[in-house]
Amino acid sequence: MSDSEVEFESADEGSQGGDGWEIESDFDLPDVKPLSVESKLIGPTLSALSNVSDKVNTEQNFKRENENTKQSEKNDASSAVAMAQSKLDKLVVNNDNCTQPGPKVSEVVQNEIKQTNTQGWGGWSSGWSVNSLLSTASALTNQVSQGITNVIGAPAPEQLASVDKDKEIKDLKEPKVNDELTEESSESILDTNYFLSNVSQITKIVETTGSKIISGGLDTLETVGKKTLEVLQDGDPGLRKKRAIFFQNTEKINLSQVLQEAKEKAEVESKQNNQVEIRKGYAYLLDSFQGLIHLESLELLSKQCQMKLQTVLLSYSGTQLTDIQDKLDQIKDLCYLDYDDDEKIMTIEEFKNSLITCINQISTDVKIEKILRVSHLIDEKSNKEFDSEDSIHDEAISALAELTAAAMELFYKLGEMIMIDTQNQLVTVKAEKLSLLNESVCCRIRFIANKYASLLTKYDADGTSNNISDVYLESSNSSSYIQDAAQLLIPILQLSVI
Amino acid sequence: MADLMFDYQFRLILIGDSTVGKSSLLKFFNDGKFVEVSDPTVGVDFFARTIQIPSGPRIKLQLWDTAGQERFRSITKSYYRNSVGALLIYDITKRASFDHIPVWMNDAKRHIEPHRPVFVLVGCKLDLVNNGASKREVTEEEAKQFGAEHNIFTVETSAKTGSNVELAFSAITQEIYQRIKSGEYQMEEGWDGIKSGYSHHSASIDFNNYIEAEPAKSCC
Repeated sequence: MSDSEVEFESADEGSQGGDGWEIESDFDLPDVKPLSVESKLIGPTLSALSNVSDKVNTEQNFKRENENTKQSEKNDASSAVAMAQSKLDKLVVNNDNCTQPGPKVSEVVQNEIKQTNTQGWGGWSSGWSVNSLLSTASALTNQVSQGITNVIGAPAPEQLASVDKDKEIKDLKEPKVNDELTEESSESILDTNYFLSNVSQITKIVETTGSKIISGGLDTLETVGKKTLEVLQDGDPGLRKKRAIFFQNTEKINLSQVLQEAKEKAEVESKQNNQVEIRKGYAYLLDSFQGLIHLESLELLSKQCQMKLQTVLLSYSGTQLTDIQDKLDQIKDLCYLDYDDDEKIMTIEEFKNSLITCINQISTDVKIEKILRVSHLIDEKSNKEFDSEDSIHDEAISALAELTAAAMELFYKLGEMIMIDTQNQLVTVKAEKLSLLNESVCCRIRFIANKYASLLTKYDADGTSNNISDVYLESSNSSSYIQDAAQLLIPILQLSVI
Repeated sequence: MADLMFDYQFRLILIGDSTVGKSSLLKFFNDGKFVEVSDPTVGVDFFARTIQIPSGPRIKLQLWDTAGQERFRSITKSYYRNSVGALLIYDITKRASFDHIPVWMNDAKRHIEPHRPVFVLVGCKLDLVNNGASKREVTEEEAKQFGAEHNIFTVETSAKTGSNVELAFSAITQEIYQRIKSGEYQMEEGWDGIKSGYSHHSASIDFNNYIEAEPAKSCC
C-alpha cells in the first residue's frame, strides 16, 4: 500500500466521521405514518388508565352496594388497591425481587431493542428498521398494557387480601401519614359506628382511594415511559436518529414523483391511443432535458439537510434553540418570493446580468453557461419562421420545459455547492440572491410564454384554439416547479448556518 | 436525449480519483465527442443513453458521473445506494489512481448493500500511452489480475479516440442483464437501481399480444 493510499483512506474516514451522516444517506425511506407510532405509544397509556379507572368504578359500585355490610370488604378492596400499586411499582422499576410481569416486560423491550440495533439504523435498510421500530413499539406497548392489566385486574381479591391485609390495616392506622385525606380514612376505620352512619364519608374514601390509584397509576406509567425512552435511547441519545426518520416522512409527496407519474401516464395514454408518434408532452420533455433527475437529486439533498437539521436542533434547548430557530426562519423568509409583480419580464440581457450577480454571491464554482446558452437558443428559435400553429405550440412547450430543466440543474448545483461550502457568514446574502435568481428564471419563463402567445395570436385571431391557454398553463406550471425547486434549497441554506 | 422506448433502466455510477477521466469517458459515450478541456465535476452530473443488447431488450442507462474531489465525497456517497453497477475508473498513467481502486470498490459495495453491484474496471487515457505522450504506470496485466481476483471485467479505453468506450458500458450492461435473467436482480419498490421501462408498463404478455394483434386490426 502506497503512502498516498494511506492518506486517501484516512481522509475518507474523516469525511464519514460520526456525524450522523450515515443515516441521512438513506433517503428512500418508505412512507411511514408517524402518527400511528404516536398513537401506539399513547394507546397503552390510555388503555392502562381506563383499566385503572374501570377498576376504581367497579370498586366504587361494589362498595356502594355493600357499604353497610362489612368493613373487611373495604379492607379487601383497599388492600387489593395497595397490592396492585406495589406490583405496578415493581413492574416499573424492574425490581429483581418482582417475579411476575416486571422482568417479562423489560426483557421483551430489551430483546426487541437489541433486534432493532442489530438491524442497524445506519444501514441501507432503514425501511426495515422503521418497521421494526414500529413492531418494537407495538410489541412493547402490548406487553406493557398486558402487564398492567394482569397486575390490576387478575389477582383474586381474597388472595391479595390474605397476603396484605395486616400490612394494609397497619398502614392505614399509622398516624404519621401526612395526607389529609388519608387521615380521614384512618379515622373512619377506627370508629366503626361512625363509619356505618356516614355514607358520604365512605364514598369519599373510595374516591380518595380511587384517586390514589389513578395518581399511582400515572406515576407508574410515567416510570414505564421513562424506562421505555431509556431503552429506546440506548445507543441513540436524544432519539435523534429515530426522530430524524419520522420527521422526514411528514413531508409532502415529492414533486419529481408527481411529474414522473404525469409523464408515465401520458406515455401510456398515447400508447393506448395507438399513436405512431407519441406527442411529446411537457412532463416528457422536462424529463428528457434532464429536469426530473436534477429535481430528484435536489430533493435528495434537501431531505438529507432537513434530517440533519432536525438532528442538530435536538441538541439545543432554551434560548439557544429560540435564537437558532429565529435565524432559520429569517433565512426561510428571505427565500420566499414576493408576488408583488407577476407581470415582470426580463430581456435576455437583464436575465444574464441578474444571473451573474447571483452566482457571484452564491458560488462561483457553479457554471451558468448552460442555462444562458439554453435561454439564448430559445430566444433564437422563437424568432424564426414557423410553418404552422401547432409547430409554434410545440416549440413553446419545449422551450418552457428546457428552461425549467436548466433551472432545476442550476438549483441542484447550487445546492451541492452550498452544502459543501464552509464559508457561511454570507448565508443571508445567498438566500436573497437565490430569491432573485428564482424570480429571474420565472421572469424569463413569462417572457417566453408571452412571446409564443403573441405568435399564436396571429394564427388564431378568433381565439378558438386551445394552444394559447395551453402555453400559459405550462408557463405557470414551469414557474411553480421552479419555485418549489428553489424552496428545496432552504434546508440546505439553513444547515449551513449551524 | 434518450429514446422513449426501453425495457429496463439501469442506474450506473462512475467512481474513481479526481482527474482520471470519468467525465470525458461519459461525454464520449454520450455525445461521441472528446472535450479537450473540462472543468472539474461539481457534485454529480447526469447522463442518459439507451442501448440495445443484441437480440435482447433495450436498456436505458442512467449514468451518474461523480466528482472525484474529496470535498464532494459526502454528496457523491448518497448516490451509491440507488445504483446497480459501478464503473471503477483509473488513469493508466497515474499509479495512485489504480492503487485507490480497492477503496472505491469497497465504498461502493458497502453503500449498495445488500445488492451485489456489478463492477467493471476501466483504465483511461490509453491514447496518451499509445502516442508516447505519457508513461504507462499501470500495466494491462496488473489490471487483468485485479479483475480476475475480483471476478470483474477489465478494459483500457481512450475517450479521445473512442477506443473501447462502447465496450466498457456494454459489458456492464450485459452483466446486469444476465443477473436479471438468472433471477439475482429483481425490481424492487424503493430501489432505483433497476426499473422497468415504458414497454413494461403493460405486462410483457400483453405487449406481445399487442404487437401480434396489430396487423389484424383487432386491437382497440
